[in-house]
Amino acid sequence: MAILLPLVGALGCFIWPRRATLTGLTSAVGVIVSVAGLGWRVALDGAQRYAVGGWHAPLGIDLYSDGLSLLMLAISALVGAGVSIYASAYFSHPGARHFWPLWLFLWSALNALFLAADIFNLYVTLELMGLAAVALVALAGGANALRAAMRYLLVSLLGSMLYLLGVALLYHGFGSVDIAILAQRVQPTAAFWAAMALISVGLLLKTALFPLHFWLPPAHASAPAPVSALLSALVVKGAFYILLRLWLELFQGPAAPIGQLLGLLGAAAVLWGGIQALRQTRLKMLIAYSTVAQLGYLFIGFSLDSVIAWMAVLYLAMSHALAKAAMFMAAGNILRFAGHDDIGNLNRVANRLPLTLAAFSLAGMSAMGLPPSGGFIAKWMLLQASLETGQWWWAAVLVLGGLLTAAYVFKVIGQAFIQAETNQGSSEVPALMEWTALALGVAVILLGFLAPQLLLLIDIGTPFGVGMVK
Amino acid sequence: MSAITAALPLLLLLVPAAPLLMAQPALRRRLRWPVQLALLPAIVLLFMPGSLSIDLPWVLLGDSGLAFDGLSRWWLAMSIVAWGAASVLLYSSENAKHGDETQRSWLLLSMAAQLAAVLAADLFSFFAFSSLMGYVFYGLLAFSANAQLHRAGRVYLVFLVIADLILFESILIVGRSLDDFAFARLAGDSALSPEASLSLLLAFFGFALRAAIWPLHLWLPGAIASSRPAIGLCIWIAPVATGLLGMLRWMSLAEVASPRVAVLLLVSGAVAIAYAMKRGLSPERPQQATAHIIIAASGIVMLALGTGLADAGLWKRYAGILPVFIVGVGIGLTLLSIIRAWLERSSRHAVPETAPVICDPSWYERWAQAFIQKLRHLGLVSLPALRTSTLNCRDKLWQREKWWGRLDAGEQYFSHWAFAILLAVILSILLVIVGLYSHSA
Amino acid sequence: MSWNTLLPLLIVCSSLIPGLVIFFLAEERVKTRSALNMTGALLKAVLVGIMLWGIFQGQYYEFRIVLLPGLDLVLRAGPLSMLLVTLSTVLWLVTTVYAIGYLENSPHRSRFFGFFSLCVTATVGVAMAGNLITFILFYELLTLATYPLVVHRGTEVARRAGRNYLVYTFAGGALLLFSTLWLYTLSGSLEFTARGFLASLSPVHDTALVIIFVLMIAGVGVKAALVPLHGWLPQAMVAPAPVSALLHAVAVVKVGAFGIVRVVYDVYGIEFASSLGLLLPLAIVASVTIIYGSMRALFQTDLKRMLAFSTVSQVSYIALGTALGEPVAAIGGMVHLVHQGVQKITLFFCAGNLAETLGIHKISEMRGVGRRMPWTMLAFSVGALGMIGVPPLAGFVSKWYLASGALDAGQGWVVLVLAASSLLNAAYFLPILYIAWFKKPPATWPEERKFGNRETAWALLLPPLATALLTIVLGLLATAPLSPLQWASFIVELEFAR
Repeated sequence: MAILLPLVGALGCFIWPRRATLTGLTSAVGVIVSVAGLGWRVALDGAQRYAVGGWHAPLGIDLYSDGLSLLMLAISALVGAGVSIYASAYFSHPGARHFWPLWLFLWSALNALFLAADIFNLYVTLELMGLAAVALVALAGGANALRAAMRYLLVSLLGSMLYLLGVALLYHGFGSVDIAILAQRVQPTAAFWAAMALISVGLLLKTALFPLHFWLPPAHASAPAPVSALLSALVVKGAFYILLRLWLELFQGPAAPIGQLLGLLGAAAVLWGGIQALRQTRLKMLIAYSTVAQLGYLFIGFSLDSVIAWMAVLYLAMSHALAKAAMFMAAGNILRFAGHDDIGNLNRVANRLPLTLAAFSLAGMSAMGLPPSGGFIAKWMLLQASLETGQWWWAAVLVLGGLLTAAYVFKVIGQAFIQAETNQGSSEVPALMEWTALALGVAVILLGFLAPQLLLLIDIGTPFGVGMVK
Repeated sequence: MSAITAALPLLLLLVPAAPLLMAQPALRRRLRWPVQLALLPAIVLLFMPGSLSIDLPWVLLGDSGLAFDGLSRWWLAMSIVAWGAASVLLYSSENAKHGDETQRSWLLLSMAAQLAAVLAADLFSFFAFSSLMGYVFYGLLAFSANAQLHRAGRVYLVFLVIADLILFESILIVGRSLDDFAFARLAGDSALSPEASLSLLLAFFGFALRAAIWPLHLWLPGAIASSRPAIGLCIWIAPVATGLLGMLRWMSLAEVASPRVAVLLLVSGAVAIAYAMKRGLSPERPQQATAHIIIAASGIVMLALGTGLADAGLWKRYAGILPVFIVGVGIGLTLLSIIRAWLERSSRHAVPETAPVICDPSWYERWAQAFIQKLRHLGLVSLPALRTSTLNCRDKLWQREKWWGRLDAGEQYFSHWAFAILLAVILSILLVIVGLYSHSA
Repeated sequence: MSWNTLLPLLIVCSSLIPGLVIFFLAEERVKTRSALNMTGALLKAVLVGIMLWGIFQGQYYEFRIVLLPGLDLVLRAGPLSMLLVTLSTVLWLVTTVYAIGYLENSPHRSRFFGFFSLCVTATVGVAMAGNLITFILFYELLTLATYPLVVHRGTEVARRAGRNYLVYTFAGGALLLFSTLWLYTLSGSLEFTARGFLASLSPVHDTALVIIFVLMIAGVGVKAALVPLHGWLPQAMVAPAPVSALLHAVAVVKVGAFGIVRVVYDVYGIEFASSLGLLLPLAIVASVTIIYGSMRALFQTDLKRMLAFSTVSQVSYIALGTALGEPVAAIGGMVHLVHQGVQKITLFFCAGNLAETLGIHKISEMRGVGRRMPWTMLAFSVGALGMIGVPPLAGFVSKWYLASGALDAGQGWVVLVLAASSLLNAAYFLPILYIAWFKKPPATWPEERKFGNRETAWALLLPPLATALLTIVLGLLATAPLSPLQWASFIVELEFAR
């Protein structure tokens, strides 16, 4: 139902473009309610498996939900709700007509992705998600946005293609696409390795791991604010989710050299993204590079390969989703208010939009990994994992990355304190937009206090249980 | 009646409290004779028979108190006479200007601290009050805008700070082996460590710095020569006499003292007397007579103390004479000052304004000046210059632009060769995998 | 949730909530804001009073929530905590009054007071932190809350100072986090425990523990401005006077010193630390800082910069007292935590008064200011003499305990360090007093504001007088029951098994 509702909503928006906003919001509420319902059942009864149309695995389509997918669903519902509210104020009428169906479409693809139990379904949803995202990027119009969208499309297709190739190899080799069945059947043959390699590279490309991150900053920076928020917060996480699930379930955790390689790339991403973010003169570019850096943290988890590290990765994914959404929304507010997002000239804006700035700061706190925030919990667990496994160099990278993050976040916040003449005319920012950004910012802080409960949830269905075998 | 006896020790508190209260500008301006009023409790106390004491349980390190015993009676008497005379001389109706009004506050504050020091019953509170008195007295000294006096005051202040430190260390050392700092119990304390000798030496040195005993008298003649007679009297009563009192008090520790301290005291006393005789018999200015009397008197006290240290039996027998002598000197100086002031006033009708006497800076002042100049140059010019140059060096090493350029080039490179990198990554991963596979197979 | 668990949280919230509300207040609502501020400050004072009484009665206050399995957020009110809590509560009350007067009619007051309250919240949080992780939480929060205060003026200089501040403190925070984590993986516990919790670890880890100690001290030493980590402090002087006052007296610098105390006593434990041979190097670093800070202060021409370097020097007394590893010195160090705070806040208030009323910033401009502003300068003199350690002021008491503790520990050289520091203190404070009281005032002041026939506004005058009075009382009545000295002795009895 979490998938269908936005789909229906999207169709509804197509059919009644005039009431797009209303329809969109209604379906958003619907999705949240259904995710909550699912969460309730999962929490009570453990992992759920649901066969669509009553046909079971080898034949039909299975939906599977455990702690991992539930939390991803929940976080996308939360961000989705935020984005929906934000967008309802952000888009004027013509924009809204295109935005809502695409967004709801994207949302349903994302939910389907988190629930899918076989790798082919994952492919389908991945592809759908990619296409919707590309269309959303193009929504901004203008040559820059179109070029970024084209590039994004290319990357997205290439990534999906590689993935599909891998899926084909696996299906050929082991005769199933269902993850659970595959997990029992796989043998470490050359075909299997090749398939995993193809899948991984395809997904790494879509997750924009350094050095394959080149497409991300322009795409995220040129999209409209709510879209940027979605892309940064959710879409890259979709691809990452697949990667995580496949490695964990099919592969019993990554082999050491590959894990180390991914970790190394992740570390490079943390540093490179941080430095590049520090270099940017435009706010949205800065935030986009920050995403590159934060995604790097996720991959450091691969090199650590312990239960704590996986939990940390998931927690980081969640808090990053919230924080990045808040940041992009704040950037959108600033852009709306000032007409530009040139960091050097933000002083006036920052003085006039305290709520937006607060949202940005709270999100920045989480990104830096300062307590108390979701980002801190995640980083703490990652650090703990790295020290417990004796790989202290990752801890050093993490700490350094945190300092870089602090540097670029304060590069923006520092602008707020320049004395500036405040009498220039400027456009109004709807209060709803400011408050939404702030709400997400507060949510990411609250995430820092919910860790015990959330970690219990993650454990449902023991998605990381296999990771323990090592 | 018993209530009165119980309240009597409170009088001890009132003695320093009254001048402190009178020093408030609001109160001082309204009253006609603030100094004399402030001395009233002290006078009452002076005529109290027997000894009194009060414990101040929470003050300082605990177990502090004020006490009124034989020694303090003598000093109290001298203080009353001297302060009373000084205030009359300073503030007789004729020269009551505004400046003098503020000076009167300083005088009252010094008086409060001095009286408290006289009544202090233990090492600790004596140290505290006398050092406070020292600082406040500087205000009295430096208040008059007189260059010579200022210079003397500066030296005084430096000595005072050093003396404070030394006394602090002295008490610190002796305090380690004492549980009680009270003078009364100090005398019979046989548990003193051998460090007490060091402590005693430090204490005498500290008090000598404060009391301007030869050869640490540098500021004294200059200060007295350039000020009015009453100030000279104040100098005697506040720093000098209190310093001497301190030495007398510390003599309780003397039983274990080494003869070296005694020799030092004897030598200093003898030279002081000789020096005062020589300068006093051929005075450059008549005003300096007071200074020489003070130096000579403290020299005599030194001699006496030295003898006492060398021979404890002698000290036990004749110690009682010393306070009488000091008080005698005090009263004599008071009389002298009154006479001089009277003479000055009668002669002022002839010579309306005596030009202030300016002496050339003496050797120690020039030396100190040069030292301070050097230091200031070092701190304000040389070191900052050094610092800037190192900072510049660091900046050169850290040329941001160059680094930024490289970073930009890197990012450009990534997006330019994006697909090539992608292929390379795929290839390398495949290679790794094939390699692993062949290895495991 | 019983009263005893709730009280620590309430104390933290009593400044947090007014702070958050103030952010949303319009700039013009001066009365509401002041009322909120004062209510918060008074409420906190009352709550802290209740808590002090409770602890005196043997009550136990702890608030705990779980952050992660095995990782709790703990607010606990022990005797050591209460020292800093009480200090910050009292001084916050005073500073709030001062700040309201100081910032009259200046822009961004809502922002200022909001962060001001957050700053105190963080300080109290640090004080009551029951384990290292809570400590770090509030420690970082403090960094975040003070940054806006440092750059409040918004000038280029202020921003540069702010940037420097962040670079230093975040680097310190990162070190602290890293070392804490390392400790956690070694010991599995982070709870502050009297006499430490590491002594039972196997000796295999000794090298690691030494490295962790160095990292931790470096981490908290940034805020405590130990040389060579002090670079941010003199620059942070661009902040408005109440901020500098708070920064130097209770908030940032003091929290750093408090961190050193915590690490030495409650993490490592004094005996274990000294058996690892860690205390002597710390004592040497502290001594170097004491001398270096005083030397630098001697050559400053700007009043606030001079005071800043003086803080660098004075705060290290606390570290020194801790590092001597001897009960009496420990009392001296801990009581200096309070005494230095009260004295330094007085000095900064006075410096602020001079700047605000007469536009005086340089020491050379202070000629004769004692006649124009006698009460302010009286407070200043008390603070300065206290810093020198003139009896019977507060600074003397701490100096006495430090020095006699040093003798007890057999470290005679420390006495010399203290004497040199006193001498240097006298060398830079006494000329100021001389200039201010005994020089002729100039015909015009740099930038004079009139306040009727008073020397300055009441809100500016009363706080320094109150703290100056406190300086005298703390020194004169040092051994009164419940005085900081007694309290410090009480703590030391807990920390040293005797």
